[in-house]
Amino acid sequence: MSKILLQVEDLCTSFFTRAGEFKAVDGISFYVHEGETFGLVGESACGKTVTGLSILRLLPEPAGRIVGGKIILDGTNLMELSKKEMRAYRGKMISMILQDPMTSLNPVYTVGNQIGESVRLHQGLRDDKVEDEVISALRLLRIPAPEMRIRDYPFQMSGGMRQRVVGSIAMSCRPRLLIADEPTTALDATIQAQYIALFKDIQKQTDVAIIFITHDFGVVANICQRVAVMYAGKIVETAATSTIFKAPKHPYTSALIHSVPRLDRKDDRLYSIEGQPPSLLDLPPGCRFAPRCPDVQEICHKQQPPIVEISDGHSVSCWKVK
Amino acid sequence: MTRFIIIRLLQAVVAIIGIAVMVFFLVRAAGDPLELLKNPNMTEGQYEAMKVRLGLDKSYGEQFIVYMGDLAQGDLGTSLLKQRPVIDMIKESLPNTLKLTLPAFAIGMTLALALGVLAATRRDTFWDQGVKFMAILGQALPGFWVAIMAVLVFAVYWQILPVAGMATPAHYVLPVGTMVFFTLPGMMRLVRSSMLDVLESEYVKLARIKGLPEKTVIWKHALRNALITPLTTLGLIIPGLVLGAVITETIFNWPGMGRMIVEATFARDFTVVQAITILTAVMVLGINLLVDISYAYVDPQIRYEKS
Repeated sequence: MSKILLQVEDLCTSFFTRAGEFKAVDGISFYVHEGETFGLVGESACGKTVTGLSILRLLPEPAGRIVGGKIILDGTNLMELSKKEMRAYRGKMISMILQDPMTSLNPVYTVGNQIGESVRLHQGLRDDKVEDEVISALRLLRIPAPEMRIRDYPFQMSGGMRQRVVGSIAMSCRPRLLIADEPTTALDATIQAQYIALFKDIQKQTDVAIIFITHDFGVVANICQRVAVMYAGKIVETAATSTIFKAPKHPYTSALIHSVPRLDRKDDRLYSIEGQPPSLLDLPPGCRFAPRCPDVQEICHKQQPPIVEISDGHSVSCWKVK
Repeated sequence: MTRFIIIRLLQAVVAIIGIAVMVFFLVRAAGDPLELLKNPNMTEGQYEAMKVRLGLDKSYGEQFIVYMGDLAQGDLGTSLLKQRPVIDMIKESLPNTLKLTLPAFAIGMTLALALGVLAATRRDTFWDQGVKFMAILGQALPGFWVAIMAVLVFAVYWQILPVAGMATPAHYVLPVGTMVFFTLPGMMRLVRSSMLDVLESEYVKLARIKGLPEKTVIWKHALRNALITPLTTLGLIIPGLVLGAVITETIFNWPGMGRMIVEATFARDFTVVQAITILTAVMVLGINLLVDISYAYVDPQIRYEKS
């Protein structure tokens, strides 16, 4: 197995509002190997995106704050960097792709300008070289006729093309780590499959590590080597993708996998998990999934389950597992 | 773009003709200027001669035809009261009005931009509260009252600034300040709220993800988008500036077009009122056209739709 690129240890991120402290991410740990795709899965508001933004140290200020933990990228603890040093990491070492391609590009600047800006900033190139780099970034994402498209504005492009441009911006300085925050959710199914295939290919070419944030286990099966399942700010299970599908140990993981619609099963209706995730302002003292769990025991309501490594690389946080 | 400009110019011509017709009848509804021009010592013959000389012996219909005909040839007529070509009077007063409105506009817009951005980027801090307070105060207090109070404080009590006139740079401080007061608060609030919207956007987030320094994020990525809304309302601010000039010039005895139209209205000097109204309309429409063109410059989407 290749080297560990990113190590997140006991990360806690909170939002401080008038209503109180929202513990959006509450003590999560995981690692990502070089050149690997690591899935971060869970339903809306479970803390996936906040985890991504925490790694970049770009939480919405002043409400959002990292209150504890370490984020170690290639031996450097990002938490200890100054603001300026952190800025030099963004876009160069770590990049991120946002969910909605229709809103994540600036409408008043050309595509070439928006990609070139990153290139100029991090690589310190002269103007004529910048254009070459921009074209090569567009080519990496297989955008047709890149020489023509650099003078286009985002509104002249389709959603799928725009998301490729966002990908070009992210990959323009060949980062070591790419955080992809539901990059395919806003795209339609065929474009989605193309985009994922494209990223598998880019990963082969550049050896970039990807944290793939999604709620869709179908997408996970397609691209991720390993996956962590998040629920209400905590990671409940981490394993290799094949293990997760074959032998999920946490009831929440099983339920999530079970709720993926499948063509080879004849279900009358889609499976759904009863109830709602707990409020992050008022978390239960025990396991956070206990109120919705089909296998709940008495201890689940009282005490938080520890994280247990049941086999190599497979860890679960559930009282059922010992 | 050329097609768009031609269409807008044609629309402007129609609007100006409409305004010319309206102002012709409205000034005549204000009363008969002959009552004010009549001298008790005049003989009946002298009075009749004056009527003929001013062209007021003709019916409204005939007067209207002469007026529109002259206008079509660019002739704005002769002042009933002063017996001088109106165009000469405007040539004297327009530069004075511009000396007041242009600096006021430049200062007002620069401050609105700077303070609006300051407030938005330091949301809910002391700076933001200060800007919000100033904006509310500025919009709630009537401009003419503030101008008079400023004269009272700066010119009468402290005597550090002159009361009226336009002789030295110090004479400009209070009138320009008053004009700024008419335009700044609304624009400042607009820049602030528009900037706040844009700062929440995904592309600003992406700009930060790229590792750009905060000043590039704000002045390059956010501001240009945040300007689109204030720019559209710039066209609405221009009439406010005209109104501000009328009030300010009257208070500070400033020999500009604003004061001229007030005096002409009281004197029922039809030709002067008509000429200034039409000229103001031309300027407002012209500036609006410029605003629309600059709008297309800021927002490429509009540029492409119109070409």
